Amino acid sequence: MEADGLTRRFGRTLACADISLKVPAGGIFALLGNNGAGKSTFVKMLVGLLRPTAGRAQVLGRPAGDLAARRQIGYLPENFRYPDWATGAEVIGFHATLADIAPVRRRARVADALHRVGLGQAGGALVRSYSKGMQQRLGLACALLGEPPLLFLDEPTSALDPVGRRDVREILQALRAEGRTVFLNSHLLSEVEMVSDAAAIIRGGRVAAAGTLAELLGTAHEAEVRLVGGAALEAAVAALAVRWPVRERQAEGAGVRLVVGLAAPEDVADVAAAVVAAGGRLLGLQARTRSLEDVFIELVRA
Amino acid sequence: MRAVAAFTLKEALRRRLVAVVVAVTGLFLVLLSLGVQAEARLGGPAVALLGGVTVVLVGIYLASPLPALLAVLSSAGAISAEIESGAMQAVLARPIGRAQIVLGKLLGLGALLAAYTLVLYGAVLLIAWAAARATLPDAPAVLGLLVLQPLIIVAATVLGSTFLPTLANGAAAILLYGVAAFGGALEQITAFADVHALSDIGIITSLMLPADAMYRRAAALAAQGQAGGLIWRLAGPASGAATPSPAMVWYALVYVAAAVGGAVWIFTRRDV
Repeated sequence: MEADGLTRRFGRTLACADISLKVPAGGIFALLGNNGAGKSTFVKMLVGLLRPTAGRAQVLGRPAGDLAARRQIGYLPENFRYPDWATGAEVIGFHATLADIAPVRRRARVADALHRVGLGQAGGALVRSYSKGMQQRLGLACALLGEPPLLFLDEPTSALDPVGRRDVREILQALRAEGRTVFLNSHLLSEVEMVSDAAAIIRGGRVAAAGTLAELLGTAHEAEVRLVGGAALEAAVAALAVRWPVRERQAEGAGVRLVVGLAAPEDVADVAAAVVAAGGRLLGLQARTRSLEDVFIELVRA
Repeated sequence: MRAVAAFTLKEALRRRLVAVVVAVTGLFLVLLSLGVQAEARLGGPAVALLGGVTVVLVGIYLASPLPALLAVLSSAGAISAEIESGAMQAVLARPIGRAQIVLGKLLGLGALLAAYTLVLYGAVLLIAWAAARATLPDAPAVLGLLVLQPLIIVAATVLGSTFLPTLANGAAAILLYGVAAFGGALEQITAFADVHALSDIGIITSLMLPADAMYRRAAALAAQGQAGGLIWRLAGPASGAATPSPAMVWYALVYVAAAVGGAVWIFTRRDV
């Protein structure tokens, strides 16, 4: 999938501004952002529900939204309610027909899709009897139908309980193992961190950061330092600040608690040495890697 | 397109709306049967004086709002309800053109309404025949016009559902049908008094929604050359005394085509 300057306006509101992204085939790509950041609008343009105001996008080598492109994608919308008068199997069967799955294989494909999302026993029940989580599983089954090489999943776990979330995570990992590409929109950063290979963070409709997860978190090592030092305290803090950016500072009794950014986890030994060399007394030192959530918060608040 | 039509038809049949309409239709037919039979047994004026065709015309007149109502209620959310629920998003991501979705919906709803209308008026004719041996003259043409009536409403309502919310579209369609029926009733007065303003109102409302005009022409065709037909012309607003011309039938067909074309045009361009 490749987007080039994709832009969408709703009246005076700029939902997506000049978004350029390239997602290679295979693996899980996550698009992150606050509510209203433009994530769903971006995906809707890729699947042909919205027309871009400017820019263009290609999906599997075809213009986004054209029939040939749609033949090869699966899509789970963010907010949807399938027809409550139909059974789960009827809904999937309808989508199987729309997806041009041959009639002889249709029944088996419907059963497979329902089984894969844990609705194997509930396929004959009316959708109106489904819980919210079951409806979300049904939506996921629809997206998986026909084994498309590219899936767009907009908040696939938002209505699921912890067991359901783990199930979806396992499905995503299986899809990756099968060589498919998953484009994931999610608020659940801890889950994204667990399954994604790459991500982009958008803020106010613009890409604030993009890259592999390792790249996004690569410079995100830091150390929490607790020290005292009487007269030498400020000298020790200054010695640290010279080499490492001080991200947080908090008074703690006679001492101070600092969070400093590190270039690499190994720098933590140098931190200890610098404090001691400046006459400070080290009460605690802990190296840590920032989470995707830390990076996200930092970027969206910037 | 066939898949959408079949799913639409299945939806219409499963929903409580159709069950309610079928129940109301059954009740209506029972009451009509009882009334007509009682009239025939007593040798009452409707049968003896006006002739059997009047029984048919009364039945058609009383039954005509039912297909119109079913047309509005089943079509009001044809497109909009699925957009509102989000189900349309998943459908549109499939390799199917938006025109096919609109045409499939129209096909499913059209088939439902055509079948219902034929069964309804078929039952009315059966009742009239059983009670008074009354038959419908020029039956294919009359039934064709009566089937066209709800199809016009379906086309207009589906057009509305491509750009209006379901509730607003349903209200607009009922209002439009009401205005057209009222305009048509006013126009009948011009058969007895030359009031141009009323005639103009009737023509304008018929142009807005030519559904009532189809009923008027069907009633006029049924009454033509019949002994009771002359009396029926005196039935005032219910009658087809001021008969819409054949051109109005052509206009109605063009109206349906334009509404379908408009629905496809709007839906293929709108954001979902």
